[in-house]
Amino acid sequence: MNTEMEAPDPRHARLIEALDRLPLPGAPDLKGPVLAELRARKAARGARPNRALWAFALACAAAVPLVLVSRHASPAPSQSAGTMAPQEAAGWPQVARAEGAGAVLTVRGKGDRYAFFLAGTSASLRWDPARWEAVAPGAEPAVLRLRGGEARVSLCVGGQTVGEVTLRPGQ
Amino acid sequence: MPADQPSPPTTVIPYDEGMDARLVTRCLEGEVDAFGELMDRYQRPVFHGVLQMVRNREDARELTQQVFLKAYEHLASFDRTRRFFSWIYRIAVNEAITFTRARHSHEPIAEDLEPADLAPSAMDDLEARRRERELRRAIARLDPKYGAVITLFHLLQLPYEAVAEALELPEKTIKSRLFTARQLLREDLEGLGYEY
Repeated sequence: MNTEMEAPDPRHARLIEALDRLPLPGAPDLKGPVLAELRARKAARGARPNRALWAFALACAAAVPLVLVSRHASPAPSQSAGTMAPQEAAGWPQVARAEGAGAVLTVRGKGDRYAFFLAGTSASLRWDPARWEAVAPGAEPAVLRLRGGEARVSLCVGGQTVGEVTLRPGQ
Repeated sequence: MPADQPSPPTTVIPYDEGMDARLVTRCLEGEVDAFGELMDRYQRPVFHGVLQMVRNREDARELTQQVFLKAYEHLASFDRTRRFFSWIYRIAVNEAITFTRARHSHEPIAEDLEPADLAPSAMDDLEARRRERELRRAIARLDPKYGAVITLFHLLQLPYEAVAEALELPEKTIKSRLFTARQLLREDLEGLGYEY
């Protein structure tokens, strides 16, 4: 109960009692999505273009799902394109982790170090349920599965697109 | 409670300004997990503060995320002699104002303040449940400036000085608004046949 420092108007006593007893409901847990976004931003700031290009090349060579960075990146045409090796694509990226800020999807790649941003996404914070299915509804962060078709993903570093991959479920 | 012996207010906000300052310092040193601890402490009150302003759970959820992201960006500007909640609540107010201005005026405002997650045992009395629902709806119908003081003082159980700091108003104004808000609530509820 929030006890006032001064005596309240006695005519409001019952109302005050009711207000003070009104329980505060819970709230959605937004920590996961927010921290994921912050880590992605931090990674974007820390990345160097030349390192990113090296990482991209190495990852392609090793068939490792690559990089990522800012959803503020320009949706400009990619300077290079990457595809995933079939052995890596099998079973991936069917399950992705939505990090709340909608366009930001952290894909379960090796080492859980990678996040991908859908190409050409706007600042909208909502993911498109027509394209992604919640595997565990209500879970935070939600685990999403691409419903079908393809999702083009830009690989951006420091606001610059360095490549793209096309995600195909069950490929 | 006698007026001359006020007990310390119990609050749903875990005030520990020293802890908040330490967490902020860790965040500024680049420790993202420390920000997670701040979120553990404040996401619930921030969410409900925003919900009271925008009156739609999904919008409140998105805005609360934005508020915390913005807070992190501007953490260096946080004055550690102030309450963290007051500071982040100001960010929430500004975000909510921007959002509600952008929202089309013809768009209906959902009274989406019903708690969906309270234990049934807490609401097993039908009449009590009905009264509680009407009270929440009446709060939602208040002008936002009155709804804010009710939310902060009664639901979030902040002391006067914290409400004043969060709303950047003198305590005297907070007390006056609380009085008016209660008066409006009482009239509204009595008009619906509820005695308060």
